[in-house]
Amino acid sequence: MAEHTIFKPPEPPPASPAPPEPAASPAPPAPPAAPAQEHHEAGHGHGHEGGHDHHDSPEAIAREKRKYLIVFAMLGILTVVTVLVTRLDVPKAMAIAIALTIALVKGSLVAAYFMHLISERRLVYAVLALTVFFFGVLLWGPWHHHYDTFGEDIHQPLAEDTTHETTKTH
Amino acid sequence: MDSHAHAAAAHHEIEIPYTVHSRPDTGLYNAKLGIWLFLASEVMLFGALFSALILIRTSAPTWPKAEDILNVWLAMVNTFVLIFSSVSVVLAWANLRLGNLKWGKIWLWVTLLCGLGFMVIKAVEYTEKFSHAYYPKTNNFFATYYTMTGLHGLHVLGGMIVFLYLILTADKWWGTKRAQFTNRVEVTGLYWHFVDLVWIFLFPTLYLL
Repeated sequence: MAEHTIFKPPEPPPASPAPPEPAASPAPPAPPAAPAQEHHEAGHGHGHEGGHDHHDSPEAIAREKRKYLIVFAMLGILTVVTVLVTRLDVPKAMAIAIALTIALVKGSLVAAYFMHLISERRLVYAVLALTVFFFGVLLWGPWHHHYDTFGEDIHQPLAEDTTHETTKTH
Repeated sequence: MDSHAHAAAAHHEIEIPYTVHSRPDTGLYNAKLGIWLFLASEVMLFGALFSALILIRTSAPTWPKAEDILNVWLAMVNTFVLIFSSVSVVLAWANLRLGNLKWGKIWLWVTLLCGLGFMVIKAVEYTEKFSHAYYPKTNNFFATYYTMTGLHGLHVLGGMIVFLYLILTADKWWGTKRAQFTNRVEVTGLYWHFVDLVWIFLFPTLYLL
């Protein structure tokens, strides 16, 4: 009980532009297993930056920021590519495959880097594995019953005038 | 005396455990596990709608060509806006971890404004559709379009409210519960990235295919 409550917060002056703290804040309070102690601790805003217990040195965060910008550029490029591909005259099934593959890549980039799933705790992976499984079940339903028409071109221009007529008459 | 005051304070404000440090058994602070469980349920919510879209579309005798009736360029701009807002929220979080409240708040503002920009563009799109008398009742295409983009829009709105709250209370939190505030921004960011992720899939499926 004692050591934790004595922990004093090193408060930087509010105006100064972020003097980054030395890499390891002195003794990340050796995780005590007793839940009752944590209780009190949370109330004493201590200077432990971010409460994120890994990769917290200013250099690591700077590297992270660069990574975010690279991912942003890649997402932007992929967005333009998706739009351009649909302008090309590719068969429907191919267009679906390409668009969904690109979306999957973009989604993975967001999940891996912005949501930092690339280095996350095992429990989060376990939750997501279960989610992915049931998401698959959801998609399998319609796929299973309609795979025979999937990819066929069923586009037909919507007759705008007709729509106007019908809505007016009602 | 002192312990009395402390007890009174504790009574007044019940502390939530593991807001900052990881729980030994989960390896996560509680809010992070909480948001991931919530996002898992969100995946199922949107997953059900995507599933319905596939079912409706593959069993439809005809389906309008989306690019003829939807504004692909506006939607593409909106994609950029959301992607950029994902970057801005991680930059806010990174700055807070560096102890830089000023830039943390600036990036939170940028995120909020991106959310607002997204909603404004969405409103322009909806208005344009309404002016052509395209309503949810028009056909299955518009029914799914409005349902999915509408629900997604509500998520953007919800995120904006949380960001506004974080910005307005930032100074108060920063004074006393800095680490917890930083974690709140991280967790809100996780939600925001999910909203971005949903759009990444909505954009091609509704506008391009």
